[in-house]
Amino acid sequence: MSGAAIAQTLRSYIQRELMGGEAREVRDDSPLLEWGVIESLKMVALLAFLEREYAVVVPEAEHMPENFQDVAALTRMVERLQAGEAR
Amino acid sequence: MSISLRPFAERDLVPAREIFRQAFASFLQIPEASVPDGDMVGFRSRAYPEAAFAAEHQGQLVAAAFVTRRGSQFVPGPVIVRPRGWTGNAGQLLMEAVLQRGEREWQCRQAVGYTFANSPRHVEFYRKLGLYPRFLTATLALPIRPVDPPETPLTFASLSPAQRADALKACAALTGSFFEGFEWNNEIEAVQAQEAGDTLLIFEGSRLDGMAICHAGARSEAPTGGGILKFMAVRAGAGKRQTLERLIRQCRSWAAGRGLKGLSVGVNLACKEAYLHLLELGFFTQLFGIALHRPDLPAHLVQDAYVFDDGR
Repeated sequence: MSGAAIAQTLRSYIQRELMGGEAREVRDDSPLLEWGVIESLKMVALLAFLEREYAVVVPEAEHMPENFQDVAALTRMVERLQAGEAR
Repeated sequence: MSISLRPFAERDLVPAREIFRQAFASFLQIPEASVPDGDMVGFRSRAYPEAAFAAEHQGQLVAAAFVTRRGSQFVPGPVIVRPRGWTGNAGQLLMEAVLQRGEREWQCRQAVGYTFANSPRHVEFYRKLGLYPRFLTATLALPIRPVDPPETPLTFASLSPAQRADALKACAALTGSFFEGFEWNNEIEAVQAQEAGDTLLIFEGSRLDGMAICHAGARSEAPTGGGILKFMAVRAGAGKRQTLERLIRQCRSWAAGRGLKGLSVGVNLACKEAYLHLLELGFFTQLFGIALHRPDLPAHLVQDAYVFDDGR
């Protein structure tokens, strides 16, 4: 799956599941942490989605704000983990 | 690891109260100023300092959790998490610490908690941690009107030290009749020590038939102008309906005497008789949460038990 496809799926998931129908549109650079989209409980849901959708388990060492700040960062992390390049 | 846990400290009080307001305002989608101003964070951290945890990121408090022991049971939570900014898996880390404190260190047999019934995300989060959602828990309210004639309750505060020791034994015996080892004595003493309310007691001779731990005032969990019946229990048996009605009259008198406008109380709907009886007495349901049990057993919450608390 290409980076663009991953980003599109993530945008759709975040808009639908984590933002509960909010009117704001999620873009690749939308500040998810500032918006409160990825607080603690939603983080649990997001990690489960990444595992289910992309077969990647996000290791503890990757639990950093830089990886969750926006869709672009999430996409890069998924691609890296799929390539077996955990930090 | 970007999120680290440590014991909750005095310096955490101010930011933790802010997180509490932010988290509830965010979830309920109300202004922060509309979040009830009861000081749950302050009361719990003073009452049970060994059972409060802080989560921080880059030296800043981002989440906190409290755990309360009720003898052989414990209450896991509340867990409060900053709704914006990076909090990582703070909620999960805190809950794991809370469960370890209750189960491994205190060796409690049962956890009974509470979360929002209308939030699948909250319910699933706790379920995955082994806290199974069981019956709804209602929060009920009662407007306070003067009681005529007023009743003067026997209060824990009015007792001598020796009488207090006897009263605590009687309270433990009463609560333990619902679940072995279940007791609220640390809450009674914390309310007394912090001047956060009082405990009303109904004795029949030397036998305790009813008790109500009441929170009120600025150092309590109750909001300004209101009171919380944090826990009530009435002895099982033929006279329980009469005892509850007397206990509620006394609570109303006590509240009216303090100028409170209303009282609230929690009751689990598994305690069907107790819930329906409160409705008969003029209480109305304000909101529903859901009880979380680990292990998934009834604990003290059964159909004919007159036990009242909201699991928070």
